[in-house]
Amino acid sequence: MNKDKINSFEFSSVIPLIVSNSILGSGFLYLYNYSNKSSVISMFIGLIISIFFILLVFKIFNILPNETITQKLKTIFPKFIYYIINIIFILISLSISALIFFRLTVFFHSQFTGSFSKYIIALVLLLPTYYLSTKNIEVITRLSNIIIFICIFIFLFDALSLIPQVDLNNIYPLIDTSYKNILTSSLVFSILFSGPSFLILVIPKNNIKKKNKLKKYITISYILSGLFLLIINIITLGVLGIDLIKIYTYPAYIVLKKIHVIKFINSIENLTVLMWFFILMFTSSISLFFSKSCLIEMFNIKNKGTKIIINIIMNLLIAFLPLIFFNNKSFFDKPASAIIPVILYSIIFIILVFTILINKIKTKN
Amino acid sequence: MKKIKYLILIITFIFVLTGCETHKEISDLGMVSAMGIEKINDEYLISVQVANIKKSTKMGTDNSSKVTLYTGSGKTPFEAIREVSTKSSKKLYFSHIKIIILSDEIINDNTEEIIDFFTRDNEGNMNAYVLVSTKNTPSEILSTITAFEDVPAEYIYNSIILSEASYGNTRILSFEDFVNFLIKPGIDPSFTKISLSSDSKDKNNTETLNAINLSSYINLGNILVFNKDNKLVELSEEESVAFNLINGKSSNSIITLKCDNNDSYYTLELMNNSYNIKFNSKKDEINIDLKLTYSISDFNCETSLLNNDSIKKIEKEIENKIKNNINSLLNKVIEYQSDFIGFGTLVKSRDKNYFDFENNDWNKDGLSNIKFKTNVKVSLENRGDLINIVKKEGKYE
Amino acid sequence: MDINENIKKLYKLKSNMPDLVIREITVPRRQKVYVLVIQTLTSEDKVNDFILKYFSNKDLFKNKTNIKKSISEFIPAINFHEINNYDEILNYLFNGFTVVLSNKFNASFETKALIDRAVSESSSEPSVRGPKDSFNENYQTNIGLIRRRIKDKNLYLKEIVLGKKSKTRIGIMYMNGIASDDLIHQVQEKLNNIDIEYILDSYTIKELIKKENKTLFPTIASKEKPDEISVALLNGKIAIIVENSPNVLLIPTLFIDSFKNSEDYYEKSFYASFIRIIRLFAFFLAIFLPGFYLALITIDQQVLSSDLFINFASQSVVVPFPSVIEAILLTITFEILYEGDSRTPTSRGASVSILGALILGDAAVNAGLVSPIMVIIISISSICSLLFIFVDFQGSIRFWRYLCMILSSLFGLIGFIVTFTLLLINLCSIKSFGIPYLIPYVPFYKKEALKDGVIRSESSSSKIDKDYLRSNDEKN
Repeated sequence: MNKDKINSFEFSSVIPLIVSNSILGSGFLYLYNYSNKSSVISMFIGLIISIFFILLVFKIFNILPNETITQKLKTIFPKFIYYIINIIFILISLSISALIFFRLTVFFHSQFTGSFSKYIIALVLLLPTYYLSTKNIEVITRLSNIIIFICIFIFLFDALSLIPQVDLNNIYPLIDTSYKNILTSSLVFSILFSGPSFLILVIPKNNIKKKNKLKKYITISYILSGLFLLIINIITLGVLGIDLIKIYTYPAYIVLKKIHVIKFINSIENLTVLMWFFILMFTSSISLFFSKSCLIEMFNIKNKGTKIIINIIMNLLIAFLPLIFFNNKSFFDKPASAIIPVILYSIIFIILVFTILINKIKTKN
Repeated sequence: MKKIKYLILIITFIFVLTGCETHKEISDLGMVSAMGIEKINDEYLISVQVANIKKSTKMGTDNSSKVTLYTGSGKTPFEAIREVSTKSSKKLYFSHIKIIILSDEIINDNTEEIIDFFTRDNEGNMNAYVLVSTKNTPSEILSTITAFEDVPAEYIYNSIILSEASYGNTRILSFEDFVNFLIKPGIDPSFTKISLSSDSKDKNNTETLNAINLSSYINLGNILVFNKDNKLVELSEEESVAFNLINGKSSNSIITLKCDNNDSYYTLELMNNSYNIKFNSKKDEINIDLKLTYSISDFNCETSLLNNDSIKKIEKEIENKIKNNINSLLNKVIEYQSDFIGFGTLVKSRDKNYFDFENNDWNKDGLSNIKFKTNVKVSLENRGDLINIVKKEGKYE
Repeated sequence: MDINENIKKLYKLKSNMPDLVIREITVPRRQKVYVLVIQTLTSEDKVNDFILKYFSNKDLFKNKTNIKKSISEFIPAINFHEINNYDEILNYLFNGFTVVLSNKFNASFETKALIDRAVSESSSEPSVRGPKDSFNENYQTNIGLIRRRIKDKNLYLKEIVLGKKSKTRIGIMYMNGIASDDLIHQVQEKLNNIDIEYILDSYTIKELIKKENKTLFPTIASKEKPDEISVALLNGKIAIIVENSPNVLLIPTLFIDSFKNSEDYYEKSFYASFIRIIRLFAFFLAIFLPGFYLALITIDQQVLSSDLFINFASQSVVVPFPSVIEAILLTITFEILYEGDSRTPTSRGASVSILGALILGDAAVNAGLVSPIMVIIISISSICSLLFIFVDFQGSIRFWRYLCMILSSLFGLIGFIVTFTLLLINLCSIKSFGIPYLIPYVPFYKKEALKDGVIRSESSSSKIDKDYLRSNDEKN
């Protein structure tokens, strides 16, 4: 684990993928339902607020640059607290991975192949997730490097073919609801945006080569992903209009159905969904990797067979457990379901703040 | 090698477990290209036009029709469709629907009931064009045969696009826009009328396909809007053209005027249309500004085209005529108390505090306070290959 | 070494090896000189030449002859070795040397017969422009063909002998200073650990070294053209030459190497880049086209426009079985056709191609067994896979194509997307001797990617970037 060297470009290409994931799911629902047309402004404000959280994550990234997050926690906290905090991390990242996978399964089940059962679809979608989780961090970053280019290409194609259909009357007036709504939704958006960044802590900083350009690449990738989400928001709002958006569960997908490039290509949304698939699967798989490596380092497991068994069990858990529990509940179709990732990310941020404070106290002594 | 074995094992399990439920061969599907909905005796009657793909190994001349029509009835639209599928041997596939024809009773009484069926299904049929038929029933219209296209829905689809741009008395309305106009405050939907021409005795006869003199049976007519009592009413042709001019949709329409010297007419063709609608909340005014560029297509008058005064006179005539058309259209808006042009959304987007759309009715209270001001500016250019007109010898001057 | 004992042992061998010729020549002072050859391995002219020249030497018949001095000074051969024990005698005999045994001095020199093909055009890697010579089975010729192109003292050659029964000579060639030392050590270690009975072709070595990743994509390439090997050597790769095999191995091989051809260097760079882009496109077509079509036909018909829908439907209405079975049958028939084509001698090749074209092209479609569009798609996919000369690469294309077809026909476009992801993950995780497979694109090396990746720039013989082929531990 500590021997793998990663390029700084590959490292920073992980960031746009993990950051966009919760927005494509429940985040957009929440934004549109609570702040109507002013979701544009609240997204903008949310991006600015999230700078604070991002800096928090990177401050921890810079402490003790030779160790992963588990090892850092081990050196900073006393033993008993370290166990508790590590278990909290493992559980939270596992549940985030399960949530994202559940959302992916439900999305595919509702849009395609309506008569397959959800379990079969989960099994098929588990194939690349499992395969990716058996590889080490080098492969994951290389894969994200390739995926980023594919996603940029698909995104540009979609955006450029939808821009002629944008009606500016759907976006004005910019401020539509009370200021309180705008502020709460921008706070929620900022946590959803910057929350998954904690997943990069699994890589020690010293494993990255060519650090002179690291800061530049990371800032560019955050700005680009913010821009990406903003453009999706504006285009969806402009093409469909706020009234039509509120009746759909996945508005950002419905807007893709309106792409008519030439007479021939008019149902391309089945292929451009590749971008969504990549983003969701990749985030789910990297958070699974996070929890797996935390678990392995905590108990210092060296046996190869045990590692494989843990891997298989975790994969099966994230794929099938939510399906069994949440099968008939429609909670996840409501906008209020965004509250669950917000709570999970906030817990992590609180723990990170504590870590920084205690580290400061320790180094002062 | 071990990994490949595991992969093969998993895939064989999947083979066994699924049983291939959603496996539908393309030849087992019946592609529905057009659909008609009407209501008879409190029951929905749905007619679908399905592409008729038969096993013909020889590509010979096939005199049978390329589409077949099925009808079914039920209490909800979905039940009616299920009854239709008892009559066909192929599974109906709705993803490629091009045209949906609704009868006017459905629009007048039960609009919301049919919308739910179309928006809930995920097979992507929100891009179909909606037409309303008042004179004939949808199943009659769907059982006529058309020239040029094997599938009549394609014919209607292509001709509605063409006529919106070139003649201007039709309006493209996709199903999604239809839903949008219903739920959005400040705009009401407007439809295109479809009907059959009167001499349609032979419309079901396939022999007439081979006749050259196939008068077109399907007519795409003028635009229909809602009136005060929520019934559909037809606008006149000139008002429909003016409606499209305001929206900027007719890019190539024509206008015909009478010459002042003799009894003949002359026709001009629209080249460029730049429209601008502004709302001034302090003065309660809506300004409609049109800048049109026309070119002469068919000139039979005796005035010479070479001096500036006659050009200016022609431009003035056109401006007056268009202004009159627009004014009569706006009068209809106020008279019918139905804002089908979309002034309400414009008002809402420019100044959201001007009118409370949720609690008051825009059509009754808001529209009556607005003053409209039209301003049309026409410029003539591009007279084609001729400098002036063609005259028979000895008649000039 | 007792000469009489050795001669007795050799006479015993002669009863089962009649081509071992032992010639006894008596020299003055009662010394016996034995000349030994294995007749089938040596050229008679050279041996007769030696006997004529040497034994007509007048000095020899003087009384005070020193056999050792006379043999070592007058032997008309340049590859001259002194022998010290019995095993070496046999070793040299089997390598085509002539052995001269006497009381005090034993020597051998080379008189190998030329029982090889001449250096001719390569049958499996044809070239239109550029040098056409290719390797043959002679070890010396192969090395000579490379040395002729790189006349540099830094071209090092290390030799090993492997195989208990075959005792094949293996040569490792690399450019000192350009190739990475770590790579050389790895290769040498792996070769030294091989314990095997016989080696008949370089493919055996390929399998034995390549234990690192069990992947289907080739990480060691084998080529037949010396100009390609020379370019690769100058770029820092290592060549392994095996005796009796016209295929020379190249280590390491990257993904981008399967898309390159030596022809690209002898043409304008614009055209070469265009062709490489087309090859990359053909790679994806070959793997994904049948699966994509099957997904569209059976599960996700929404993507088709209505004209295509009617077109495909009216064609597949005729066929009596489902599309998946049709596709698999056609693919298997194409595989059989290719296999038959490569096994028949050229005198009968014409009838095979006519049979194939008639059966598949015409009769099957007219009989209503397959639809024309399926034939078109499967044949486009098969033709695209023919662009790649490595047989290993074609094998991997085949596997992924079948996987894609199965998953797409079961799950539609989800299966297609899942196969695409699996292929990407597989490609990202392969390492060829410690070097990632997708260099120079995924760990992005700008100079190398622009110079000689998919796009070939103008002057491809500028400074060589030595960094990108080094493994992780060597770089800082």
